[in-house]
Amino acid sequence: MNTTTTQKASIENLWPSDILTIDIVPPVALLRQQATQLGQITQNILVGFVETMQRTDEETSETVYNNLTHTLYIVAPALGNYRYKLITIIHSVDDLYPVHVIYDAANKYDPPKSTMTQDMSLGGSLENEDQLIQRLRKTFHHEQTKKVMQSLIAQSVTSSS
Amino acid sequence: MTFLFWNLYKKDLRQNLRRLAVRHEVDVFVFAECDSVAAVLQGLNPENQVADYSYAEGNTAHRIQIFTRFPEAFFRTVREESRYTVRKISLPGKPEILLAAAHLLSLTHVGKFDQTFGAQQFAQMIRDGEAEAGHNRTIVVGDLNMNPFDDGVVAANALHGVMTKQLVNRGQRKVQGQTTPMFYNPMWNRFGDHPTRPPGTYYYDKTGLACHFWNVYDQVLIRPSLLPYWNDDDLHILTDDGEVSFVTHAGKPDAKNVSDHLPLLFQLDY
Repeated sequence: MNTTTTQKASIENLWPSDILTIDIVPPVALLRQQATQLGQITQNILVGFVETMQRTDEETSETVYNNLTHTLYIVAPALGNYRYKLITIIHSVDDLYPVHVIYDAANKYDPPKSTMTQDMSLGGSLENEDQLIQRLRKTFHHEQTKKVMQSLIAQSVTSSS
Repeated sequence: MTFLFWNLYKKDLRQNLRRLAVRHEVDVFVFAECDSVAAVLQGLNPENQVADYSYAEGNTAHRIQIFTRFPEAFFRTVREESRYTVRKISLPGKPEILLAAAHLLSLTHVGKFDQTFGAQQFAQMIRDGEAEAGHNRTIVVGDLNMNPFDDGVVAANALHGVMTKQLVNRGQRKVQGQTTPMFYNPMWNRFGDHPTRPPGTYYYDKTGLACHFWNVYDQVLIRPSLLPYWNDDDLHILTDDGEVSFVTHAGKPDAKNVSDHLPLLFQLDY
């Protein structure tokens, strides 16, 4: 018993000590911040919701490992939590950037049939945080997005629960 | 944790709600007859201020609406029907509780049997939710459309609400071979004249030989496991929001300008 305890205590931690030092804003954090901001500016009549998933290849339905997709939805709680898919981005697990936009409702990008790199470029490749911010701003300010948000707000305000 | 329940009488009471939220620092609003979720959100979250409150959407409980300052993710639906909902409130570092909220059937629309049977169904749903959750830290709130002495509230196979803490400390009672848990119902001592509070939550002056006039249809009931967190003095039937009175000069609920029900404010100190 004592020997086991001694052995446990003496095992060295093999994990790196600097994994908590992150000097970059992850794309998902940017999306979540914007999701929160949407609630703030609309009095929570519309809220944002970010869903993170592993990518599934649409042709084979198999999980594509080593990458993550993040989708920002506009949600209208007063309309039965209606969800409008606004934008989906993808990046590899080991590199937060570049980010590839694989769906953008405002700019009418269709999801790629495959997750091959060349298809990802359909929605554009964003090399860093600044480019992602610019891209989100463009999508949020797009007439189509504004039209959808105004429609959801109008219906929420007039809806009877 | 501060709760406020109110039957809004399908009125747009956003200004009153805003004042109540600020004045009482309400954490959880539960509403019956809430006609517009958006209007409530606009009231609770004034423009150009931090939007504190969000709508905790249920699945099918169209007659009950819940708004909270906590992230919606902490409010999970356990069981639900159109007239009632059982939510699991899981706050970090706190024991999980169940919030069962209801707007039960009124004698205006159904007979006594249907009303009592509806309360039995609600009580069974609560017990099922407790079995699933693995605990019975449950609080019930709502417009029950019954008084604390009515069968649907008192009966062992319904809500099984009793009038004193001493009684409820028995925990459960076996009747006709079936053992069912009790609720403490603090609303029993909210009837009649009192120097500082109204005689009930709802006033109805009907023709007929027997008339209670004042009723306590809006109720909160708690399981004995939550009694350590409960203080009767923290339960209030509100008659104003600090600026606007909810009662007429005669002291009755001002249905014309506000609501035909008075709101309930209560705390769970946990």
